[in-house]
Amino acid sequence: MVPTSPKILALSGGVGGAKLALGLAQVVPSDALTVVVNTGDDFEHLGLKVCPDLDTLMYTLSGLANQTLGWGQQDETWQFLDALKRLGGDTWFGLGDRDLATHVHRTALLAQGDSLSAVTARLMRSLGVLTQVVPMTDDSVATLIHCQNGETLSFQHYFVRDRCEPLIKGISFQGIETARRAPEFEQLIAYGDLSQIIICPSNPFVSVAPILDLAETWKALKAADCPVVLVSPIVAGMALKGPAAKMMTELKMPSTALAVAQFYAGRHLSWISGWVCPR
Amino acid sequence: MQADTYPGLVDGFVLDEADAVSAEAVSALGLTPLVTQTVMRNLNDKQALAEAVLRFSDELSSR
Repeated sequence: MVPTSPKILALSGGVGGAKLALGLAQVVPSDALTVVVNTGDDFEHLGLKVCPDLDTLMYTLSGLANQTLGWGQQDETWQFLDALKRLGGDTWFGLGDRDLATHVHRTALLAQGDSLSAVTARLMRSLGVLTQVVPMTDDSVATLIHCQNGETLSFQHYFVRDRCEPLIKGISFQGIETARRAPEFEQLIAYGDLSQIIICPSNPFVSVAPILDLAETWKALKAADCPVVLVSPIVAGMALKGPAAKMMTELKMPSTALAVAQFYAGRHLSWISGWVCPR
Repeated sequence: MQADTYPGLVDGFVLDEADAVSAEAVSALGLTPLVTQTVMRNLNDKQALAEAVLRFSDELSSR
């Protein structure tokens, strides 16, 4: 394998991670940065493959992100969802018309046999994204939320349909035991000359953990000959975006930046008695 | 279930100025802290944080 030039590797979930990824993309050459994105949130909806974190990266890096909503595309319209509602369809997940085109096109390309990483690269190119954005895996990994009432919810049911209201007691990643890193991610880890590894300010439990736990990626990153820098997603006790602070409280952790550091450092484990991520 | 998280993975930990009081405790965990503004309200904030993180990482590399 031909050695590559030094690369900055950023690990990202959705909105918070995408913001820092955009900042990085502004200050380093496009060929020096690879962003690996969580796919544990991905799901099938109305027969379509939806990849919320990848799409957030794509819309943010292409300048198409909806700054008002914090998700989806700017100048979005909702005729499809309105029509679906009239038909009695399932409308809990807000598919805008422009966003819908992404999911339809991705699903069609996947149905032709292309991998998620190949389809992602194609979609990114189409929207003019020069930064390499890679799904963590081409295999299926599904984040499951284990609730205190005994229910187990898919991530999007918890996050969008139920608006993060259920109290959680743990999280697991279905399929993580057999999933492999996407080829570009694997190549970067196996042969890439990594100069910096940055963990973006994303939810430690449902955005970063799936990437780190996939094929023991965290051990491979720990062994890399460069520092790993993590940006806290918790500021003054609150999450920059999403349910991280609420999850920390329910997992019996203080919702503080220090507790995030302690979580990654593997200390004070009695706090995280509810953590059910299999390893 | 096992809950050993990721011991030894993170070298540098970036926390917001609002959490500066925790920097010493982060250091006690064996992580090098960087206190800076991390809330990204606009493109300038995003670039500034990216540059701060890259400089910090460079400093950690050279130690």
